[in-house]
Amino acid sequence: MSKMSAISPTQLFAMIILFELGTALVVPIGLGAGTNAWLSILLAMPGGIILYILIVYFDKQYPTLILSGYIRKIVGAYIGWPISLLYLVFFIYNSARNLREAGDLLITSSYDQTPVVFIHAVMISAVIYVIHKGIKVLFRVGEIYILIMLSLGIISNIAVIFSGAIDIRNLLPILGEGWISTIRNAYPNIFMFPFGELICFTTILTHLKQKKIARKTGILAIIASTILLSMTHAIEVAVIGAGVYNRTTFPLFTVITTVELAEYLQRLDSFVILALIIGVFFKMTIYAYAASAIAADIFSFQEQRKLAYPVGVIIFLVSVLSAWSFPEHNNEGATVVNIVLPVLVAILVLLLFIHLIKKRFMTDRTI
Amino acid sequence: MKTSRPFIFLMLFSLLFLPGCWNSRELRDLAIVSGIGIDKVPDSNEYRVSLQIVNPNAVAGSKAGGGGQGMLPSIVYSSVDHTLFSAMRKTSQKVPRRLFYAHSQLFIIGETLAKEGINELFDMYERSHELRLNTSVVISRGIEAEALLNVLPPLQTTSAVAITNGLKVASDTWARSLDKDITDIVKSLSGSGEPIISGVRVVGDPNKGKKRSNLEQTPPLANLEVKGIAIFTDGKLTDWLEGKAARGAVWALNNMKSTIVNMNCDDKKEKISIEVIRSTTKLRTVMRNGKPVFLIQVKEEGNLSEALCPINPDKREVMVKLQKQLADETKKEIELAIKTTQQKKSDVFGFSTEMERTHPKEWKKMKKNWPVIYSQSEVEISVEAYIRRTGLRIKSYLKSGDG
Repeated sequence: MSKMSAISPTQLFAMIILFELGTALVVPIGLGAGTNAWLSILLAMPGGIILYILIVYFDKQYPTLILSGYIRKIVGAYIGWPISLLYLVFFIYNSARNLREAGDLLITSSYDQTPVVFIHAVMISAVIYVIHKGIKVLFRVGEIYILIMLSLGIISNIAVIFSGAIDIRNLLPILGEGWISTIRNAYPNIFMFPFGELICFTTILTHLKQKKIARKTGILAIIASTILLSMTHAIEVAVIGAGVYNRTTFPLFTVITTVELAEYLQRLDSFVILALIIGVFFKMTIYAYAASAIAADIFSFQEQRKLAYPVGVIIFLVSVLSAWSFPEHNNEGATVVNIVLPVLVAILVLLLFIHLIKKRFMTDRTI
Repeated sequence: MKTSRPFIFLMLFSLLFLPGCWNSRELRDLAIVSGIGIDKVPDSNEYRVSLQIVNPNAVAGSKAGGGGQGMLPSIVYSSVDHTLFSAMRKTSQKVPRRLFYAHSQLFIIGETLAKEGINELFDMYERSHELRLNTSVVISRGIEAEALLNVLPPLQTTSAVAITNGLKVASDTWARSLDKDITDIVKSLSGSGEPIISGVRVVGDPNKGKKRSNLEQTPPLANLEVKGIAIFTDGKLTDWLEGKAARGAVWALNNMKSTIVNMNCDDKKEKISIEVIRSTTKLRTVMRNGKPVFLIQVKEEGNLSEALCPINPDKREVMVKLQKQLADETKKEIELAIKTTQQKKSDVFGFSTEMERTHPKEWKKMKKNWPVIYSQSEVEISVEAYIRRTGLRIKSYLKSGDG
């Protein structure tokens, strides 16, 4: 399988950036971190890197297995199977969350007459298509879209900077609430969203072509995406101020609407909408792929591609049914970030300990 | 190939909605709103919302030199309701086209309404994706916002365009007004500061300004004028800054682009004109003996552009004296603005934000009582003025009377 679908380091690099930027670029992150959001993002980065190293370590120990495979190797099939199921459910749910976020933001920002169901249907059909085509195609698409995403970012940033809308003093006071609150915004909030979400890559690393540089590539990608995220959120706060930033549902959109360059370059809204659609597409596709991979593994299903349909349909239904309103959707997000994701990350850490103890124990016995 | 059948179906199905026709609106079915005016309905808690709608036929016709004869370039419709958004939508009953707000560039608040409070007016703007947050805001002085929209202005197609452009030009070159948008106002309303909004009034008879005949004579019977800056206390209009005080406020807010300062020439009053060409202002706060002290630091540069008396800028002392005069005049005007706002307990300059940024701990204690603290605080103004050029001549052709 891994020979069929080999991913190059460049593709991995591009995909991690797209995945990390995903929705984190457009929604306010850090639950009210305000002026210090950018600092909290930087502080959360080491956590993300450590988590990634952990994922790579597991992949090194079990090069042919994905998450659900080595969970069962480590704790046995009887405990491992339900735990894998837990990850499967979470991946499906979070893919649906991303879809819902995109749908709601698209409707509030521009498609006010279109029913949410149709926007979701269009997006999910693209996701189903790409998963059906296989992971190789997905990563190749990612390689192309990272360039589009970066050019959108560069043009928008230049427009924002030259429009003179940035007031650096909006970022003051730095550490007004002290280090502790800044760190508490980073852990667990920003550490979990978007860095904790990297647990999806437990199902992907096994397809890598050059495993030796997987760690280096991933860490570089995490650093690059952290810098981009931190910069974007700093610019957002510098333009609209912490007050508006904390109240808005879609800060990047609000920022871009204030841009007016020489009275003719304005309404760059479509750039932000594009960034939202591209980011969400890759993020939810990775989630959906991870879900289908785990499903294929734990249910011993031979053709993983075919799972694209059921997984896609479930994601579609969950995305519409999971919350009745956008505020409720956001509150659910807080639960995900504060409880669910930390538990899933903690399970990984626990697995590491069990694995290490077992390894020690086994080697002792062999000697 | 078996699997591709449902897939083909899916793709064909998405064709139904992919073309993006769901939100489609044809230009000929749209009524383009150029300006929005809000008034209070007397003795009730309802708003009158007036929408100025551009008549595309008349506008296109006038450019082509014919065609639109007899048509007015804009029409004002108004409706009354409890909320602004509802009143705007209610107007659809009267307008034969779909209202389209993305090009609306002006938001006018009636003076009577402003005196009762403007706190709640902007929620709609923040939530909506169609209304632009960089819409300019003005207050209609001594007249209803609706009446201001009704005036047919010379040289521009609609009064909303005339006011928006006029405000921009006046603020940039005369500096006795401020071009503030919705974002600025929401920022001050949601923080501890107060908003500051320019006024616009009608010169002449507003009733005659409604008619086409207004455009058929010069000077027009009614014209629009940007005048004065409104200051607010607790979201209610309490005073107007005029003339030099208004310019002082523009200076303190770091909005000074260019202006003309008249200064005394020995015993002749205000007979030397300096054109200020650039100016930057820094607001800082420091704590002294547990009390906040506000620092305003201005750095400006000007040219000598007119002297109605024989001065000799060749001499260094003359130039130094002019610089000092300019600095003193700037300082005086800023003091004037500060004094008025302190009397009204209205922190329009954003000292509260500055406190929050630089003294977060002290700010927490002062937050509740800020308007009073602001009114009693000490303000230190320092101005650095430079006059570097005197235009195409150095000496004046005027002969000095006494040598």
